Amino acid sequence: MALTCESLLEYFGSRLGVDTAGVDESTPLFSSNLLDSFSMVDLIMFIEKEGEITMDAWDVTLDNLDSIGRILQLVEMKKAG
Amino acid sequence: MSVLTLYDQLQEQVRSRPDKIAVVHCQGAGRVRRVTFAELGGMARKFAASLAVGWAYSPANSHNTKSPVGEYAHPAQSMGGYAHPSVIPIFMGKSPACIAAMFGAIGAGSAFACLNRKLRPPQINAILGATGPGVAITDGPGATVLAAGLNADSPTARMRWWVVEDEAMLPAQRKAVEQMRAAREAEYWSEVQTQTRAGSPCHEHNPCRIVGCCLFTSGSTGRPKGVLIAESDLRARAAAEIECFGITADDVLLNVLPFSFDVGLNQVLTAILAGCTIVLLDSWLPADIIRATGEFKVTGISAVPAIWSDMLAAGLSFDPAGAGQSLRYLTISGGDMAPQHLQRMPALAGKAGIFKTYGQTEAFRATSLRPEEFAARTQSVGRPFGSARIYIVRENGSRCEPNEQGEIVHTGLGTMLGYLDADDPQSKLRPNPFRASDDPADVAIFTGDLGWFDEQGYLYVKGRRDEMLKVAGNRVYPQEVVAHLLALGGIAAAEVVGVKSESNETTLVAFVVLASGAAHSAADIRRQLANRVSSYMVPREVVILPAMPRTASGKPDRPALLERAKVLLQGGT
Repeated sequence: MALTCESLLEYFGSRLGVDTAGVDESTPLFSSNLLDSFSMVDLIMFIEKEGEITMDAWDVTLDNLDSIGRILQLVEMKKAG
Repeated sequence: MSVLTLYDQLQEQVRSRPDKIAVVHCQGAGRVRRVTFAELGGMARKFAASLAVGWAYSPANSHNTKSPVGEYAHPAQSMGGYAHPSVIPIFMGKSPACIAAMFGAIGAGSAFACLNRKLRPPQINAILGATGPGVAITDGPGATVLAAGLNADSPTARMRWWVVEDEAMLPAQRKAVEQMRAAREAEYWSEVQTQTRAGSPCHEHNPCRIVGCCLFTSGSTGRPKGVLIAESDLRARAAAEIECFGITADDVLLNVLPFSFDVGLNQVLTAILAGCTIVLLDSWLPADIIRATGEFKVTGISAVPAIWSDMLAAGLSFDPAGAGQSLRYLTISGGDMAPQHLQRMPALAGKAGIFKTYGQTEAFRATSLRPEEFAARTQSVGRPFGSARIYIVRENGSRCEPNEQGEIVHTGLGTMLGYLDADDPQSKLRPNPFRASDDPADVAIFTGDLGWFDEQGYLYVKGRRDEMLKVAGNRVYPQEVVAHLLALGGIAAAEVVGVKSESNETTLVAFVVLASGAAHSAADIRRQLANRVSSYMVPREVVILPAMPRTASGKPDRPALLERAKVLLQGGT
């Protein structure tokens, strides 16, 4: 299963218990307080597994993870690179 | 001689350096907002003026306004005869507006209380029940939390909420504000009527006698404790930090800790009083901290051990020729750091000096270990700071000899005024038993921490008195077991808790986070540990976690771990 906007929304809703109504690709996730920092470790494991990439410490930044669009962009970049 | 309050000192900075950048706010998604001292001071002026008027909104004239701290009168009591509390709760993310609201509250003669934005409605209601009704300030993310927990009888509903808008407010956040507006509980701050007053309203009062802020900690009963700090002490703490860390207007400080936590709060007050720039970063990720340090040429960072442990685990450091070029100092504040991690800190810090500090919410920053002392006394937390005094006291109240362990008692700089609930049964505040010509303080804080001084007067902290465990008749401090676990290698973080059974037997449970690439099993860890320590120190259970749960201030969430350990021992999962 590939990582998509839909699969991330499904994950936020079912796994992290977030109300995803009105959340789109550009909605800030952490800086808006929608997700808390403790969810980040879980989110990173989800991205690595579903996106089939390995993130290093330099990839794990708020800017790379703060919206669905940015997460997908990071995954694409890692796959291309 | 007239005393300049924090608010007055911000306005002094507006006069002397109006165009200098006071705050750099990293808003996420690459957005950065810069605010000058003139802009910050202007915002604070508007808050001060609107808060002074805002008292008229206070709905509950009958609220109990018993002064919790003796001669420290609630400062606004005399204004217009309104009976109201003087604490302004601020429930918002770190931002220039949040800083302006804090200073504005002081300017209006009130105390501010920054509530951590990770709090949820039950905790917020408990806190607001203690502060009483009145004006409170929030933002879009805060409003969504408040609106979700709103019901007519809750303390949240008895507040008059001012919502500070942000151009990036999400539709869900606007909806939450509309919901609160419909219930007549909120309005946008931009709509709040202000009245220009000459000078700062708090000049009507003696600024030496006003409460500056209220910090909330969760007491051991789980009920929030409001710790009241004098405005004069906030100033003295900032002045002491400026002196200790050698801060000038040329510094750029990186703020990663919340303002609801004493170390984060003191850092922002220090920056404003020193006239330097503070960078607000809402991330504890190692790569974010290093990038921000390089991008904004940061010179000083105050952080808790967990932040540095994460950076060590990620294998990142401040490159003296790169991102760490400007970095002059960093601090390890607000808790223990395991010896194995402390030894690796100089390599992480690069050219920056390392300050270790020790203190509590009730007794801020009692001691500090200077960078030049770090190598020789890595385990110490240093010597008393500013005019703070530290005594080590035996159970019978007499003073300990050097190298003799006892309770750490703090007087002078940094001691609280008292609790918001004046009758708190677990008060750490007592009359100063060592009052003398060289220590004129009236009160002392009995910290509940155990420690000792060496012959040269350096303090070593053993742990909390109430954390000492008796396992099969042996004294065990959880931190000792943690140190042995980390020494095994392959373990990035560890915490140990003791679960007491009904028969008063204590069972140890360890929680560990493995270093990247490590593949120990729980059984391996127990076996290896058993080769190093006495059998009573080997935890019955070792639980491997993906990450350590943390409190809002970045400390390990030991109450949550203890709960988990209890469930585990009862046969749950």
